[in-house]
Amino acid sequence: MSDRGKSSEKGGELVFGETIRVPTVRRAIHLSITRPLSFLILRFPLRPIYAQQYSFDPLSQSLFIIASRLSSVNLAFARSNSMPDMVSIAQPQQRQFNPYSENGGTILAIAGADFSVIAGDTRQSEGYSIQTRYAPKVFRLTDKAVLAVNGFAADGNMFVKKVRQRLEWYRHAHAKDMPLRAIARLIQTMLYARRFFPYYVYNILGGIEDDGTGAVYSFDPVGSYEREACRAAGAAQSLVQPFLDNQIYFKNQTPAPGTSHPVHLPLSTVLSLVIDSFTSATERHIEVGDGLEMYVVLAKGSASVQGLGNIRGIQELTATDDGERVFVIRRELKKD
Amino acid sequence: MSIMEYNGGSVVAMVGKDCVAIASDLRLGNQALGISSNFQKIFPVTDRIYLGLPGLATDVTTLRERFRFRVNMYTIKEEREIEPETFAHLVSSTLYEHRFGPYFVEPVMAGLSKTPSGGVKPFIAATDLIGCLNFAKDFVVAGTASSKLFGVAEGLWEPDLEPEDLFETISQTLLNAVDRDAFSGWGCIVHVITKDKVVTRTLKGRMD
Repeated sequence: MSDRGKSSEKGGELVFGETIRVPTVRRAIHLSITRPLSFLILRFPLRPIYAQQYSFDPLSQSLFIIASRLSSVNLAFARSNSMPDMVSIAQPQQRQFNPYSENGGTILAIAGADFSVIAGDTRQSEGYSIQTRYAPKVFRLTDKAVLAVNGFAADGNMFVKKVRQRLEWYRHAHAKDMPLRAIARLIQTMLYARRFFPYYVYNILGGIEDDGTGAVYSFDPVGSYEREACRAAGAAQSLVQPFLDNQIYFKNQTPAPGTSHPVHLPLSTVLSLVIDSFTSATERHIEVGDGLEMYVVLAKGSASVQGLGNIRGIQELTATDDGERVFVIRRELKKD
Repeated sequence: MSIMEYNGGSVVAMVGKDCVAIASDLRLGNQALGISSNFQKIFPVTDRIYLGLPGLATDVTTLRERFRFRVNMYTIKEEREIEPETFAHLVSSTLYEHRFGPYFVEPVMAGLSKTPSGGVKPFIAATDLIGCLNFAKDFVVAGTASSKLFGVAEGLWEPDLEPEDLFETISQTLLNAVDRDAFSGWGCIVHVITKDKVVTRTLKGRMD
C-alpha cells in the first residue's frame, strides 16, 4: 500500500506508468467523513495529490509519468477501524503503456576517399520472433546522401519520412539538394526537438560532402553526432565495431618499417569487409541475418565506378545526371 | 551490478594446426576502478594444458588452488598426467558441485591431447559458471569482452593456422576486443602451446 506513485523502471526503457486506486463503497463513505475531520484530528492527515508527477533521467532516456488519483489515507483508515468483515481488499491497479520496442538488426557505414558505403541487414525482429525477413533499414535520401536507421522500426520509418519531407522542402526553396553536412545538422535538430520523447533510433548518415570526399556521420537517439570514417550500430555493434577498428583504422597494427597504413581503403576492400562483418555478426547474433543491403555512393567522376561493373546484381538508383551516383548491392545472409 | 563484471577480465582460446593458443588481459578492477595491471588469469595445469579463469577474482584464486589439488590427486592415483578432455570434465564436475551457489568464473581450457599414433591433437573447451561444457572446434571466448571477442574472432580466425599466425590472430583478436571493453585490458598475455614447447608473450597495447 505504500507504493503509491512509485515509478517502475524496466531495464532503462521508457515507461508510462499510472497507479490508480479503486475506491470501495466503504471508502467513499469514509472520504466524506475524514475530509472535514482531518482538519481537526491530526490522526489522519489528508494528502490530496491530484497533480501529475514527472521524473526524468536524462542519461538512460527514461521518462515516467505517474498520476496518483487518490491518497492512501482511506485504506489506512479502513485498516485502523479493524472490522474483520469490512476489511478493504482494494488492490492498486496498475496500467502501463510502453511506446517503444526494439527491433534488432545492425547497420554499418564506411567512408572512402571519394565514396561511401552504407549497409544494413534486412531482418526485423521483436524478442525471439522474426516479424519479417525483408524490412529495409537503409534509405536513399538524395543522390549524395543515404541514411541508415536502427532501433525501433516504427520510429525509424517515421523519422526517415520526416527527413525526406524536409529535404523536399529544401529542394523547392533552393532548387538544389541539401549538402551532406547540412543534412547531418538537420538530423541533429530534428532528433533534439524530441529530446523528452525521443525517436528510439540510432542513425548513420553516409554520402559525399561538397568537396567530393566520402563521409559518415553517426548519431545517438537525441542528436549528438560526429563525422567518422566508419561506424557500426545496432544489435551487433559490439561484435562489428572492434573488427572495424582493426581492419579500417588498423588499430593495434604496426606498419612495416618505412611504410604507413593507408588513410582510405579501395571500394573493393571496403565491400569485402562489410560482407565479412555481416556474415560474422549473422553467425553469432540471433537478431542479425536474412539479407544484406549495401548502398554505395560515388562522388562525381569517381574512378571507383570501374570496379562496380562486374559486381553481381548491382542496381543503380541515381536520379540526376552528372552528379553523385548511388548504387545498391543485395546479398543473402543466413536465415537461421 | 553483476558479480561477473565486478573485477573485469577476458580470456580467449583458439585452435591452430597442431597447436593451440590461449590469451587473456591482465586487468584486475573493482568495478570501474583499476586495481592491478598484472593479474594473471591463465594458469598451467600440466606441461600442455592451460586454464583461463575470467570472473570474480576471489573465485579465480580459490579455483586455481582447488584444480591444482585435484589434478595432483589425479596424477598420484593414476600415475600419469591428466588428458585435456579429462581435465575439462574435472572442471565441469567441480563447478556443477556448486550448482546452486556457484563460483562466478567462466573457465576456458586449451591443451594438446595425445593421439594413439603418438601425435598431438589440439583441444579447447569452455564452460559456463555451473560447468556446462562447450567443446568448440575453432575458438572459445569468456569474460566481460566476450561479445567483442566473438565478433573479432569470427572475422579473423581461419582453420589450420601455424603457431606464428595463430599467435598473431589471437593477439589481434584480444587487443582489439579489450580496447572496446571498459572492464578488460591493462595489458595482455598470450600462450601458444605446440608439441615441444609453450611460447608465452606479454603484449604491448593500450593501457587505458
